[in-house]
Amino acid sequence: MKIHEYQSKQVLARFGVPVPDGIPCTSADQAAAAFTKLGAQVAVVKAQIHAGGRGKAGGVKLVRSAEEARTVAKGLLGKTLVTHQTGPAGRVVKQLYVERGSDIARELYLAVAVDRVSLAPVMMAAAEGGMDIEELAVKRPSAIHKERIHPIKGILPYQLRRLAKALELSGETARRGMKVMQSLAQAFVAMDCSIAEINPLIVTKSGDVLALDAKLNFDSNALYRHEDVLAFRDLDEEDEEEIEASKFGLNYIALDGEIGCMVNGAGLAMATMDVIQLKGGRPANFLDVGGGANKEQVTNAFKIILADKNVKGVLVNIFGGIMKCDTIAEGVIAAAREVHLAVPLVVRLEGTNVEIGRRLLQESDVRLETASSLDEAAEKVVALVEKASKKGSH
Amino acid sequence: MTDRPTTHGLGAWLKLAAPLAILALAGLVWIEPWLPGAEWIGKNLGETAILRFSLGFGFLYLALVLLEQRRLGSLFRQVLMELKRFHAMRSDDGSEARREAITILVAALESPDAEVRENAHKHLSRLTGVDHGTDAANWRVWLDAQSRSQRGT
Amino acid sequence: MSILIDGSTKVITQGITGKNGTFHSLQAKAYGTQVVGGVTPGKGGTVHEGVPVFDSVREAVLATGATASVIYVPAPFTADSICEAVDAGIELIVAITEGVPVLDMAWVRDVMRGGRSRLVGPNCPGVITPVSERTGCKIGIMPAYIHRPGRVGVVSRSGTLTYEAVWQLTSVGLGQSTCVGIGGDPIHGTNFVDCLTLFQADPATDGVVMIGEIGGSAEEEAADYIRTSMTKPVVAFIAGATAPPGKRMGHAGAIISGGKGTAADKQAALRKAGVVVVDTPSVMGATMKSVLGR
Repeated sequence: MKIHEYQSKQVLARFGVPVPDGIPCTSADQAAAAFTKLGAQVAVVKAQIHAGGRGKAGGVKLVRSAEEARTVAKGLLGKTLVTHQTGPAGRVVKQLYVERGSDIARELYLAVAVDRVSLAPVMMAAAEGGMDIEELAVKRPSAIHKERIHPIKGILPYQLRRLAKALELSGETARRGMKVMQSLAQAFVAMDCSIAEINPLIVTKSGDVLALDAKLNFDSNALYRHEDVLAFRDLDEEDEEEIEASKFGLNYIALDGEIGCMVNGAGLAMATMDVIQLKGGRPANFLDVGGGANKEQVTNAFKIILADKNVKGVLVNIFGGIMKCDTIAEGVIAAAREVHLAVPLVVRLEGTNVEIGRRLLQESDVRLETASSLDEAAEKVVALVEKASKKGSH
Repeated sequence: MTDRPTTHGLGAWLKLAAPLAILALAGLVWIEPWLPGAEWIGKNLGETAILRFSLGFGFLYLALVLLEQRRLGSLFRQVLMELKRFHAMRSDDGSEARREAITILVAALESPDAEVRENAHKHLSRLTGVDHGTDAANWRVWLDAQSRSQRGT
Repeated sequence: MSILIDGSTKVITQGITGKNGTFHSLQAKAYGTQVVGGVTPGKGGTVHEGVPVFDSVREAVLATGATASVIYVPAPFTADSICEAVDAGIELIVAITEGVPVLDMAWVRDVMRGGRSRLVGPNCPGVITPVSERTGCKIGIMPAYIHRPGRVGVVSRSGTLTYEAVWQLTSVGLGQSTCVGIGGDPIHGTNFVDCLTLFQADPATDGVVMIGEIGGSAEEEAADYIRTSMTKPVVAFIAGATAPPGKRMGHAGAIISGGKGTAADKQAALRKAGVVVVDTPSVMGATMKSVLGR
């Protein structure tokens, strides 16, 4: 689960990470009042969306007066920001954060994430923070220093000293930097984060160390023990269809192709997308109905797939283990009737009760094609979609 | 269980004192003239003082009773769980499932590991309520006799 | 022979009285698995579906001599259950539960370090060794009937995609020696290299089907191992070649892999190690057959 920058800063401040003063706002008037209240010469108005890359997209602006803050806020609120993390549709700005401006001497990068290789959280630090950290990771991975965090004991002093050295910090600044690192590691473990990132971590001209931006993502499996984090949830920021899908226990990710897929199991779902692409089609979504789906879930999955107007054909690929094929067949038939299916449908069933399932499909009045292997199913649906689009263009 | 109210200190004292106080005050209100000192209270603190005291104590007592009820509730639930468990054990009696479970433990009596043999024996006795020692053969004879008599009835 | 488990493995079920524990214990018993006990705290001394129930794993192990355990308890209690099994000296722990917090697994791994217990999962379909046409040792949630005894090992990060591979192996007449679903969580127990090592040493396994996914670097490590130490043929498929990059990942997620973890990288690494990498999962079985036939 993601939260906003200002919320992340609240959480980090609780663990002892110094952050600049700031006030969250939802209107231009509030932004102007916030500037006055901060009493700073310079403030920064920041768009609050659940995506990085705001700076380059014009979502972060310097202001020098309350009036300027009002004008900038008016321009930002309601604007759609498109960054490399939002996708082409972008995100509408609904909240702002007005923050005291800082005297930046240096920009550093500091983050914690779970590393699959060392099987533990790992702290990463780079002396070159700021906007182009992704590029740095690809071009010069050695510039990013890593230290393993012990899941119980946390990060140890010798590791902090190594990190401080890697960040080229010394004296009092190094001491402050190490405090920030320790707090960040504590926050990560205590709050069950999946990502905790401070980019940039700045050193001010007076030698203070401050988190200028902050991003916390949380492990959704651990939210049951963090009610305070759940209160931060902003449904406006989440994809409507994905929320709808999660209500029904479905795992859905919208893509921009034309062939809707309904599959059980994430691995098989990915494999199905791969085969569709291999046969010349483009998947419209990733949809995993899970291991124990019932008729209603199959029906709901169908509705969600067809809610996407780009879908020109649907491929159902189910390997019934616990989920029986006759149940799937009933669900598919019921859903096709209910939504008056107008696009071609190809169904491939395998597994428990497959004979009954296939018979149900063949005997129903719903127009569909069946296939016995994944390759055959993908070929059929791609061919049908092509035929339909040719007919449409004539 | 952590939701148990304190059974010592102020809480316990109040619990004891409140009903007594209420009784005493009710007595003061209804059978005033008989009681020694009633006149003195009425004169020095006013007639309504008695009513106020008894109301206050009444509420306090009610609160304590509610707390006590929660404790009783959890006690009751525990008893219910024990009963359920007992019932589950009884209903299994002689059934195929129970026989299967016993067979598994009897097989463990033949384990090369002495500790496993000993523990299997302990659990067998607990499960069946009888003791046929650590020899699997004895248990099998008993088990056969059991299932025969079961089929007989 | 097989790896991890065989027909004589004694299994206990942690969380046996729950819905999943009950259902899958019955399924496993029906397939011939020796389910010798169940653990549900507070229900010790009772019987559930023909299996004696114990209050703790230690009691169950001491009374039955079980060496393997399967965990169906809810996610918040899974880490505790794994540690209890480790403490009781269980050799093979299979955690089926999905949705275990990642950091729980981080400290569980730390607890397990240096011990003799082996963990498979969490969030995995489990382990199965078919013994005859309709029996075997099944520890997990996979449909038993698709398996046949044979000489091909299967190791996979995915659930249903594993069934797909198994079904194809059965359909082409090869069958399986042992199938291991290692699970897809970021921090899990047994990995590809562990399983490949076991398969390489197992005289009853002639070849291995390996199913990977995008993300992480487990497949690259497997490729390293195969190149240096494996003589048996391996057929691999990597799911997610067309998945959009970083849909759910921010900076840190992308950085930690250092730009690694794409399907193309994994396929290239495996091919370099002499693995036959297939582009479509439909031909996993047929490819294995032709590789073994050579």
